[in-house]
Amino acid sequence: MAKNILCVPLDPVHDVGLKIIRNALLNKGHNVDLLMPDLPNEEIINFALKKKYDYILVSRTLGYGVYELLAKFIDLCDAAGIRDTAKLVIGGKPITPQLAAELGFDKGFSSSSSIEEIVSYIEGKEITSDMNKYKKVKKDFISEHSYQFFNKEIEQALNIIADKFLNWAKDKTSDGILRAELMRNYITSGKKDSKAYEEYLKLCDEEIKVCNTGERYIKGVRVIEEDELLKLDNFLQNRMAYQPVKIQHSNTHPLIFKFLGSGCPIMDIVHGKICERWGVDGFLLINPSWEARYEGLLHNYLTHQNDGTITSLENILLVKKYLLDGTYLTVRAHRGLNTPETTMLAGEAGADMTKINLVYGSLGAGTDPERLGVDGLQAIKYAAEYNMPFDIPGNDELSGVPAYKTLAGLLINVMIGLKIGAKPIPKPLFCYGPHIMINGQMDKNYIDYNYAKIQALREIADLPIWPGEPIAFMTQSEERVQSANATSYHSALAAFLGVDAITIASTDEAYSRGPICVASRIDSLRAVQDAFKFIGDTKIEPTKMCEVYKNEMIENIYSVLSSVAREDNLPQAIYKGILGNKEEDGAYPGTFGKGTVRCK
Amino acid sequence: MQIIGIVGTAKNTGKTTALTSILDSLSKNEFSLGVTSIGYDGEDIDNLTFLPKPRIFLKEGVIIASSSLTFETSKIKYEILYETDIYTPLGKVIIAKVLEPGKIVIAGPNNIKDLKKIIALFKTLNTDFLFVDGAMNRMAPMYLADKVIFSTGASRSTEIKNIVEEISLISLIFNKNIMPQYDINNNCFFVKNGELQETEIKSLLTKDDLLKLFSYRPENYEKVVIKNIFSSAVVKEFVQEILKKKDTYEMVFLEPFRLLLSMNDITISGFRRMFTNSINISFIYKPSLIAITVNSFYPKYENFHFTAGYIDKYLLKKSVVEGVTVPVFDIFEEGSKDLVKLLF
Repeated sequence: MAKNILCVPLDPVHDVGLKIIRNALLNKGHNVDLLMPDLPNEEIINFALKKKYDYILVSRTLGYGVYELLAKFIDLCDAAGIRDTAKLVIGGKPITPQLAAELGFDKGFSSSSSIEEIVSYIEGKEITSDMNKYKKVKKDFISEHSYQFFNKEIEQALNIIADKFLNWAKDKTSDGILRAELMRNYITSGKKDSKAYEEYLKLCDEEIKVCNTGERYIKGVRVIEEDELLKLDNFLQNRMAYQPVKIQHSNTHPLIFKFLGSGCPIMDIVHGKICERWGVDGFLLINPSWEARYEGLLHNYLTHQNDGTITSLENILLVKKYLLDGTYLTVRAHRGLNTPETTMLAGEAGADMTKINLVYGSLGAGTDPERLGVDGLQAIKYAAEYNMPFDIPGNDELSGVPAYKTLAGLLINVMIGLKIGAKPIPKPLFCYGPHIMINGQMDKNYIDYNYAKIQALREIADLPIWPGEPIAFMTQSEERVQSANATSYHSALAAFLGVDAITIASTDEAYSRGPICVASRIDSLRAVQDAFKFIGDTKIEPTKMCEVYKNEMIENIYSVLSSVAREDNLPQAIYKGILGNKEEDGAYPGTFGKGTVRCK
Repeated sequence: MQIIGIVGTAKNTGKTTALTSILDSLSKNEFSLGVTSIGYDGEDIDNLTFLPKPRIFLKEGVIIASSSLTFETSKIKYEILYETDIYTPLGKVIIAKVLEPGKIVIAGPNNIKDLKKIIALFKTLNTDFLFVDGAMNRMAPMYLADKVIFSTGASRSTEIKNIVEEISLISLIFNKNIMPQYDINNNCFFVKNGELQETEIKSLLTKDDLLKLFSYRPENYEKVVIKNIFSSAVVKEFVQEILKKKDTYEMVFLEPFRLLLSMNDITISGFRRMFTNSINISFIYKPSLIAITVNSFYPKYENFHFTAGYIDKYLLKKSVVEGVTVPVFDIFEEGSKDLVKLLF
C-alpha cells in the first residue's frame, strides 16, 4: 500500500540524500513530499499537520546545538500529535541505533545503510535484524580448487621431490618434534601430566627453561597480569562492531588478511576488533623472530615491547577468544626450532590456518634446512590432523631470490602437503623484489610481472592462490597516502585476477619504528575497499610482456624443479642453492638447529 | 500507582543519579517499583562527550520496561513478564522483572502514545511507583506523570544565573492553577460569559492560524483556551493584540510541558516579556512539581577532550532555592532520604 512520506532536510544545505530516497520511494509508488532545506521547526510541524503522514524522514548532519534542535523537533512532533500516526526516522552519516534512540527517533539510518533498506523499512518489510546482516561467515575458498595439475612435467618432478623427501625424513626426528608431542600430552591431560612438562623443559634451552619456571624472563618479556586480562574483558564486553564494512565489492574479490604481532596480545586484540569493524577477513599472528632461535617455547599470557607476539597457547587462545567467529586466524609457524609445537598449539587453540614454508623458512628465515625439513614435515602433519590449511609465504623473493625459484619452492610445499593430506595455499608475492629491480621486469609497469606469476601458477595447477605478504611489498614509502595507494593498486590487480585472498600491510608497517598505529591499519583497509569498488568486475589488460614473463617463468620453474628432483633430498637441494643461492640471490641456508636432526 | 517523572534540563544534570538514589531509598520499604524511560539515556559512555555515565543500578524485584537490545548488553538477570508491540531503534520494548541486582541501560517508549500503553501495562502489574526517566531535554510525554522532579545544574549552563532563570520559570509555570472543566476536545476555543465558543483551530504555529483563530473571536471574551502546541511568535502577537483592548486576560493551555516546549526562550525574563502580569495563565491538567535536584558537575572541554568540571555547589543550591517555591536537593551531597518523603 502506498505510504505518505514527508522528507525534511533539517540541514542548512544538504538534501541530496533525501532526494535520492525520495526518487526511490516515488518509483515504488509512494507519495512523497520534500520540504526545502533549513525550515524552522514550527513551519515543518505546520506542514506535517496538514496531511496524515506515515513516515517523516529527517536528514541532518550533527554539529553544534543539533542535539537540542532534534530533541525539540521530536518533542514538538509528539506534542502536536504527529507521532500518533507517523514514525519519525533520522538519517545522516554518523547515525547509529543508539544515537537514533537517544534522540528519540523511531529508526535511524547511517551512510552505510542502503536505499533498499530504507525502502524496505518504509514498506514494513523489515525482516533481517542489523546484526545478522553483518554477521560474517568464513568463506571456504579452498574447496573451490581441485588441486589438479595441468602441467604434467612439473607434477612429475614434484612427485619425485616429495617422495624422496618423505622417504628421507621418515626415520628422522628432533627435539622440536619431541617437545611438540610432550606439550600436547601436557595440554590434553588438562596440564596434569607434570612428567611430560618436566621432560619438555629438559629439551629446552636454558633461557627458555628459566622463563617457564618463572625464574627470569628474557628480553623484556613479562606475564600479563590477571587484572589486565579483566580490564580487557571489561573493555571489550558487549562492544560489537557497529555495521561492519564489507570490503569486497563482488563475490569474486579476495579475502583481506592483516598481520597481528605488536608484541602485546592485548594491543593485537584491540587492533583486531577495530579492523573487524573495517572489514578485515582474517589475521596472521606473527611470532617474534627470536622465538625461532631457541629450543622451546614460552608458556603463559605473555607480552613484550618488541616485534612479534609470543605464540603461547594462552596468547593464541586469548586472541581467538575475542575475534569474531567469522574472522580467520592464521598462526605463523614456518621457521625456527619450534615449528611443530607452534602448529600443534595453533591447532589446539582452534586457529583456522597455519603458515609453513620448508624452503623459505630455511633460506630467508634462518633455520637449518635439514632441521626445518623434519620439523616442517611434522608441522604439516599437525596441520592435516587439526584440519588447518597451511599457507606458504613466498617471501624468499625479498632477499633477492628470483620469482621462479620462489614459485618452485611454493610448489614443492604444495606437493608435500598434498601427500600428507593437508590443504596447502601458495602465496606468490606482489612485490618489487630485488631480482626484479636488477632485471627490470617492472621498469615499465607493476602489472605484467605480478600478473605473470598468477597466470604461471594457474597454468601449472588449480590451486587456491593468496598473494602476499603483504602485497605491494617494496613499492610503499613512509608516506601514508602513497602507501595506501600502492596497496590499493595491487589489491585492484588481485581483485581483477580473482585470487582467493591477499595480505595487506598497514600504511606505516615498514616505518612505524615500533608497533604500528591503528589509524594506519584502517588506511589500507579503506584503500582496498575503494580499490575493489573502483575495479568492480572490469578487466586489466597487461602488455604482451606478461605472456613472455609467464612462459619464461613456467620454463624456469620446471628447470629448477628438475634440478631439485635430481638431488637426493630437498634439504640437500637447498644447501646447494638450487632454490636460491648466496652469490646471485642473497639467500643463505639457515644455521639454527644445524646438526640437531637425529634418527628415531 | 503513582507515576513519577524525572526531567533533566540537559544531559548530565544528574537525573539518573537521582533516580538510582530514590529507588535505593524506596526499596528498603518493600514497595513494588517500576522503571522506564522516554527513549534512551544512562548509557555507559555519553554519545556526545564520550564521558562515562552511570547506568541505572536496579535491585531484585524492580520491574522495567526497556528495549530488547538493552537487555542483551546488560549483565542483569531478569524474567520477561510481557513483550509489547512497541519498537524503538534498539528493539522491541519488553517488560521484565529483575531477578538479581545489576546495572542496565534503560530505553523505553519514546513517545506519548507508547508511554500511555506502558503505563496501562504497569497498572495491571500492581506497581506502587512507576518512574519515568526523561531523556535529554525531551519532555513532551512527561505530562502523563502525576508528580515530576526536575534535574538541573552546571551541565545546563555554568552560569548559575542562567540555571536559576530557567528553573524558576519552570517552578512558576507549575505553580499555576488547573481548569479541568475545559478538557473537551482538541480544538482551541474562546470563553465568553462562561460559555464556550468553539473553533476549528488545533495548533497555533503560523500567522495564518492566528488570523483564522481571530475570525472565530467573539466580542468581549474573557478567556482563550489553546489546546495544542504554538509558536512563541504567534502567541506573542496574540497577546499584544489582546492587550490593546483589555487590562487583564486569561489564557488556558493544555498542560505545562507543552507551554515550555512551545517557547523559544525558556527564561523567566523571556516569559515575563511574553506574558505580562495582566495575563493569567492556567492549565487544563498538570503534574505536580515536587522537587528540584541540582548538580554542580559539567563536562568541561579542555585540550581537545572532556574532563569533569564543577561549579560552586553551595552557591548553586542557595541560588536555586531562592528562585523556586519547591524543595531543592543536591543528591550527591545529601542523598534522597528527604526527597522520597515528597512522593507520598
